Amino acid sequence: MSSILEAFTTLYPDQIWLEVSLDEIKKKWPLEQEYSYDVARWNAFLNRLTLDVFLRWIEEESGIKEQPEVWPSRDDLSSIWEVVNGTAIQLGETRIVLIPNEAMDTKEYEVPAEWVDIPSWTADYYLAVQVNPDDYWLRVWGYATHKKLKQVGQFDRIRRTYSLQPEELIEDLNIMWAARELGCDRKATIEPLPSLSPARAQSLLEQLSQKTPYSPRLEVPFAMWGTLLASDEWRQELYNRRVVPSKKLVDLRQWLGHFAESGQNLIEDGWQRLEDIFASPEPIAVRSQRGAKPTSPDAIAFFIHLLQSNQPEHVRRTAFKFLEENGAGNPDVINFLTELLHSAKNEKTRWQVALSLGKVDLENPLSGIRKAKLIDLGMQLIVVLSVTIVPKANGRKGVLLQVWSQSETTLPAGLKLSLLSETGETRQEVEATSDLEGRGKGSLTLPAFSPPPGTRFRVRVMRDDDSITKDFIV
Amino acid sequence: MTIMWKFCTHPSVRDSNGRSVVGWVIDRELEKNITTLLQSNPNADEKFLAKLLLKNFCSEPLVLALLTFWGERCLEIQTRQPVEAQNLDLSWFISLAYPLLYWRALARRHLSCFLYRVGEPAANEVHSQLIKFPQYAQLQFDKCDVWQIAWSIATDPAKIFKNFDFERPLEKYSYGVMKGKIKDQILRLGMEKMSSNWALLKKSTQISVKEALRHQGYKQTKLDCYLLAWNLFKQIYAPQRPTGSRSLPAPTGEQFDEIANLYNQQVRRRPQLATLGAANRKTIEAWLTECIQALRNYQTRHRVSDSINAPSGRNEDSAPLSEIIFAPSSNSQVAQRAQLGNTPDSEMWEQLENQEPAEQLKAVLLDFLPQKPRDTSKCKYLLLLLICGLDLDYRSIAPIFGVCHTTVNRRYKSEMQRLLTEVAKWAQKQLGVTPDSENLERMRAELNQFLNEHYRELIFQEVFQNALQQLDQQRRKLLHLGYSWEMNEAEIARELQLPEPEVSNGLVTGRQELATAIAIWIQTDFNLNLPPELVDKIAIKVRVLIKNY
Repeated sequence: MSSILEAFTTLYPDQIWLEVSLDEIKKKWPLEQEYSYDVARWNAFLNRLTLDVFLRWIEEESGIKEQPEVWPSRDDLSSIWEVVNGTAIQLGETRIVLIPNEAMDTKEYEVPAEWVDIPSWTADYYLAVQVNPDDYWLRVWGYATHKKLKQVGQFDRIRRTYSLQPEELIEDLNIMWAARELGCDRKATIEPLPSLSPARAQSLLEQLSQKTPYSPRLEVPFAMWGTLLASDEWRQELYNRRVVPSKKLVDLRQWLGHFAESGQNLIEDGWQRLEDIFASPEPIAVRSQRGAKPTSPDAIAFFIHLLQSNQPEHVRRTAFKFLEENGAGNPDVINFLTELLHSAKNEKTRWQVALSLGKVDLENPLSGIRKAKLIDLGMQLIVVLSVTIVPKANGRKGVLLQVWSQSETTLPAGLKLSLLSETGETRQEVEATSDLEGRGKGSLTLPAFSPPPGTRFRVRVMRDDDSITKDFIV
Repeated sequence: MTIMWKFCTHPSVRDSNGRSVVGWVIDRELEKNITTLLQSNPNADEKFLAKLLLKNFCSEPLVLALLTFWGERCLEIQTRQPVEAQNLDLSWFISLAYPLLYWRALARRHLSCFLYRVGEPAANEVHSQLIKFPQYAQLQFDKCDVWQIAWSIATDPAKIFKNFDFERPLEKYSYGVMKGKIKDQILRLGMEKMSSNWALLKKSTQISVKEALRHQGYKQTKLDCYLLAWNLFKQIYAPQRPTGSRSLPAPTGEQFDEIANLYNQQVRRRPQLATLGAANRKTIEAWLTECIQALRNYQTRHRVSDSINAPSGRNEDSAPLSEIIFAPSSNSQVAQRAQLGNTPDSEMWEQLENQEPAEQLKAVLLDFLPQKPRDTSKCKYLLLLLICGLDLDYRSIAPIFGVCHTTVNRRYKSEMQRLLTEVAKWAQKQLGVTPDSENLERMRAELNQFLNEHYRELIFQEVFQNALQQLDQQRRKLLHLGYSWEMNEAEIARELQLPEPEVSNGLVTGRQELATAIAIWIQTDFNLNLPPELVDKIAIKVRVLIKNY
């Protein structure tokens, strides 16, 4: 801790003073194209800084055992920060909202009404955070409950904020932790928001997505605004429309949409069926080494039976492989896999079934889509990037990302496949390795994920200094 | 006399041998008012008076608002016209409202005097914390400046007592709030003085801008224009990236245009803003520049010493500065304070106001406290003893535990949270108190008070009382006058007719010997070695023990 922070901690022993490094400040600055106006960009910077520094404090200093989660998710934050200040985290059942402010004085604590009056957004506790990036610190100088904000806070109709005086906040966060443990803080009752028809929502989105140098949050009555913002999909849509796209996006919604309508795999911009790239019905990684031979119904039934019973993992894998290789177009196999897709509880099993279904029945809409593209990394290294998307029961889409070796049987060591957020933060990464005898794998697979509709993400394939990045929207 | 001292005097700073000292000037009008009150309430004590003043001061706005409403309705009924259209003789109304307004103004002044008294030690404490960090220019203020900040805050008692709970000890509450506000002001002033004009404007709260504009004398309509312009400036203007220099450029012409456009749009759209006229780029720039100037002027308002040093108000007949109370030739401070029964008035005030925790809760708390174990390396007992009993900071005591001060902080807070939770559970079960945040905050204040008293008492019983008796009589007297009665060295010297250097030396050596006795006790009892710098810090904290002796 720097000496100036020691001075502040001496003066304010009950408050939390946190140091911020210059490096952190540089890294948290958003890209130009991430937000549509200056204040949003600045707010996002303050919020991102506050969030990461506070999460670090929770994990390292607070003594709290639970793992905090960003609410609703990190991927949703940009769509929130584009229009309103504040960040929510979930700590078990408790929601805490951080409201950063760069003001030099703490004469008032101001919370946007969105965090207080949208039912799904309300929090148990609201933390007042003063951020001073010029002097490399931020402090949590107090907190308030939802009830306090609603019952005591002054509502500003023009700014649509609730304000409290500093003496109305509780300075010591220890009290918050104790109150949380005892579970007696209750939120105030708030009115539910009215529903919006899709047509009305679209009309609002049209209006509010017009580019302005300020937030559109005050442009329409709160009831409509709140309902729009509460919907993940509409909020993301608003964000997408306001933020000018600066890069070409691969729209995965069109893949599935087109397939669902026409039953054909749409080929565009070099994206085509994986099978076509390898010029074989089966991808290299799963090509049978024995070669094709006619399959008896009894054999099919036997392997179906294996998958119906509780077999070890390696047996199940073999069974799937057999059906993929030998069950193309077989109605029994197709029916079985379709039923299994509906009944399987295990996520991994469902992916496997969806993929297998895609191999035995290319035009089955439940199987989702897998497309691939050749990626030239230079130095005569060409790999195949594949993206598989599968419809999920909750309206989202499952996404599976893989990289395959195109010409060799194994991928070169050091090759990395990464999933990045829209802003370039690495979410997941896998790397190809080889043993002492140079043997490796023929493919890399990232764990499957199911982002909210409208989410943008990036995929990077990299080896040494060479990389190719593709942008997607799901 | 103590009542007069607390509720009727203003501070006056003067130079005494090159040092600034505070004297107190009686306000004759306020003195007359209190005398009148005491004549009609002969048994009234300070507590009664304080509550009376607060109740009248705090409830006035409602009474006045009701009176105003009633008056206007009566006039409307009589004349069948809105009040605004009339030009009537309202003397009958004023005669009714005036006494209320006058009484409220008096109550305000009495409460300000009370806060001036509380403000001085609060300012001294804050100043003593600040001087530990001489390397930070933004925290360096002369003692006089800190006093002025405190007294400037005291001129607005509404801000101090806005949410005052009458069940709480008044002086302790006021002291805590004043200290907090002084620190906030210092922190803010430090940052403001290093910020450029547009950074200052960008990083102010609406309340600050409003206060600054009001201080500048702007009326409500103009205020509304400026505040709207400022709000829209905040919505549109932001740095292009962190500069690290506390300096921001002025908005561009395009940005001023955007603000003006949005301003005009808002005025057209919102009925409550209909009275505001249109604005253009030049107007917006001018208004925002005026806001900056108002903020800068507001920064330095506490430095206008005349408004504090001299009693203020109408129809006032104050004593000239030469009649500073407690002049040594006539009434010694000790003699006057002795009228109260030989106890320092602040201590008596504490005893009047202090509501000690119920005996049952005390017994419960004692059960929850950590017991003295043999292994002192993780000794929560020692931690609480040093922090609650001796008010030592984390950095000072960290070497004892062989950890860094953030670990000490964490352990202390963890222990406090545990105790608070136990107290809350007990209160919920036994007293039916819901342990929500509001009640927990009150419990925490009681818990802190109990822990401070408990560990100070422990130190007092185990070592302090004996060590104090071991000192010679003169030094005992010096320490008593200096820390129990809060007399400065010059005053003590006059009282005891000793040279000031002898007084100073006596205080220093007395404190040092007491601190050494405490340090030896801790080292022996806990089998520790205390670093010398910690003993020096204990010497400073001995004052608190003496005050509570």
